[in-house]
Amino acid sequence: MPKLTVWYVKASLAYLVLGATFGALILSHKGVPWAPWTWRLFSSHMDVTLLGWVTLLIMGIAYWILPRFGVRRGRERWAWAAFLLMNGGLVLAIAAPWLPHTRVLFLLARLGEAASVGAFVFHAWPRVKPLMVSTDTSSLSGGQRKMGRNR
Amino acid sequence: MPLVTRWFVRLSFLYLVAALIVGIGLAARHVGWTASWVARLSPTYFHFFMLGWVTQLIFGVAHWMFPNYAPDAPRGREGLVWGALVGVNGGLILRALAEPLVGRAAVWGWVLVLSALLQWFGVVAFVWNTWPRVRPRR
Ligand code: HEM
Repeated sequence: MPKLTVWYVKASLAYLVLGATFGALILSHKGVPWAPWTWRLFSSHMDVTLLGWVTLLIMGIAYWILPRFGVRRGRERWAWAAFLLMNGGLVLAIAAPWLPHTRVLFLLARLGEAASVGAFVFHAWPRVKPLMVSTDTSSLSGGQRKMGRNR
Repeated sequence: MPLVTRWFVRLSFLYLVAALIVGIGLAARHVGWTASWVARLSPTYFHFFMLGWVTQLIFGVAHWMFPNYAPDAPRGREGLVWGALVGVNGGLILRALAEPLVGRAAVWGWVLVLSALLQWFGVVAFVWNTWPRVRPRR
């Protein structure tokens, strides 16, 4: 498992615990009302479970197992950027309901999350290819073409 | 495939089927073919899908496939993973039962609290066991 995958998967597990905590707080309040503020965790619950848990896990495992170019995993920096952007977006999305300028912060969070997904897709796109060594490197950048030859 | 993985995977299939059946009930509600309380099953639909199906399938496969913990305990402490199975499934089923009934009698509210605790402990038990297995291959 590459180092970046360790980061992705550990983050996704942490978001799962956080999302389950938010969900459990809301659900307990639905059962026996004790803290109306728990509803403010609702949007964070959705963000953290769908993007933090499921999406980061898929991205991390995809980074690990998609076909490589020799020893390299293609546009690796974009995958790192995707990781940082998603975490930035999620932290903002979690904080937004508790801070002033909530709507602006939500917009920034959505921008970070969308940019993360865009960066990850840009990273993964050329790696979606047959596992066998391919001689067609026309869709790759100069650097990647070199990596392909070094295989 | 370890036994607990087979349980996770088979249960996840059942939740997928159950989620889609609840989905039919919700859609039928919109055309007035099912009772109005069925509308309260909307969270059941989402969570059978995302927790019962998606998350549970991930739990089963991750427990099976992630790097080994140690030679003498390759998958860590399996008891925690069985605990996760019981917590998540017990919690989900109690939730599906209690959520439409909350407000009818105080007991259903407390069942919902119990369901929240079970699901939470289930998730934490799984993460507790899996965390040290997420590492570069030795
Ligand atoms: C410990 C586990 C969980 C608990 C206790 C929990 C609890 C809740 C609660 C109380 C709500 C609000 C329901 C309402 O509108 O009345 C909710 C909504 C939602 N949850 Fe969860 N959740 C859990 C896990 C998850 C997971 C793992 C996912 C996705 C991967 C998820 C996705 C959603 C979504 C999409 C909604 C919005 C739809 C809806 O209102 O039902 N949840 N959750």
